[in-house]
Amino acid sequence: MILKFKISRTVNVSKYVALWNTWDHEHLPYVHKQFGNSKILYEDKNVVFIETKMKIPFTPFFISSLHTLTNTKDNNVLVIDTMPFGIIAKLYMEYIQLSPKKTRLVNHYELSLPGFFLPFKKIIISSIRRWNNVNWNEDLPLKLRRQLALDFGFKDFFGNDPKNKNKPDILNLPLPRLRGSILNERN
Amino acid sequence: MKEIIKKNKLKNNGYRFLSKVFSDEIYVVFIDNKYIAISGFCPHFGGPLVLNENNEFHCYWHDWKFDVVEFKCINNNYKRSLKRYKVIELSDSLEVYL
Repeated sequence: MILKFKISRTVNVSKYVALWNTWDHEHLPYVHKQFGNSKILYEDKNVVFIETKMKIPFTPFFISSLHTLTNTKDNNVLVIDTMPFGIIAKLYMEYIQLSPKKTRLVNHYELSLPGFFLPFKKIIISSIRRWNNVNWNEDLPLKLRRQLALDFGFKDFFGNDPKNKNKPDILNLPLPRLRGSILNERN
Repeated sequence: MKEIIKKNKLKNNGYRFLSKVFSDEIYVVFIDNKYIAISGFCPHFGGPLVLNENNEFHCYWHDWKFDVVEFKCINNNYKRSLKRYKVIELSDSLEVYL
């Protein structure tokens, strides 16, 4: 069974800032209650394999999950997750910059589920919407503040993009991080 | 160039404001009987530095912490100090200089 649906939202930040938030994996355990520690298993300028501890909804327990994120040719993000019970979740995150500081993010979900999930179709969609909503609300202050900081001429600890200091609209991956980063434990 | 702040704007964990003069967010706190002003943007990615209960500047985005004496990062291998501003205390206000 294939389950397809979309979640669309608009935020008052540039596409660069919206994408930065998606590729900043270090904030997950500090900002999102649903995530425990994360570890990068592999990454390069187009792809990351990341192991996260994700909270099982309505329980105090965390399980390990593997996520793959790909920087697509059109500068969007494709997330493919394998989940328990043979579920494969494909999420294409489309970032549409409406103006220099306004971006629409459309999440295109495509879940491949075993047939016995059919009676739970509505519950699954509603749970994902709720999960998405919680994440969105936790991330929103980061995006808005990051946009504000950049508007004020803020330079990251690595100095943003050295080739384009005044207009940081090119996202170079992977995002620089320190040697002691919590994400590096497996490297 | 300077900014003038009324002392009564400072609450327990300080006062932050956007300064067009310095093109920065300035965060002023009162610690150990003196006023300290820093850039409120964490040097990592610009998150909000806040004075926590352990008297450290803390950014919750990635859990970066800085001491309030040398303004160095205490839990990450980051060598630079926080950006500081000079503060001159007047009777009911503060003058902040770069």
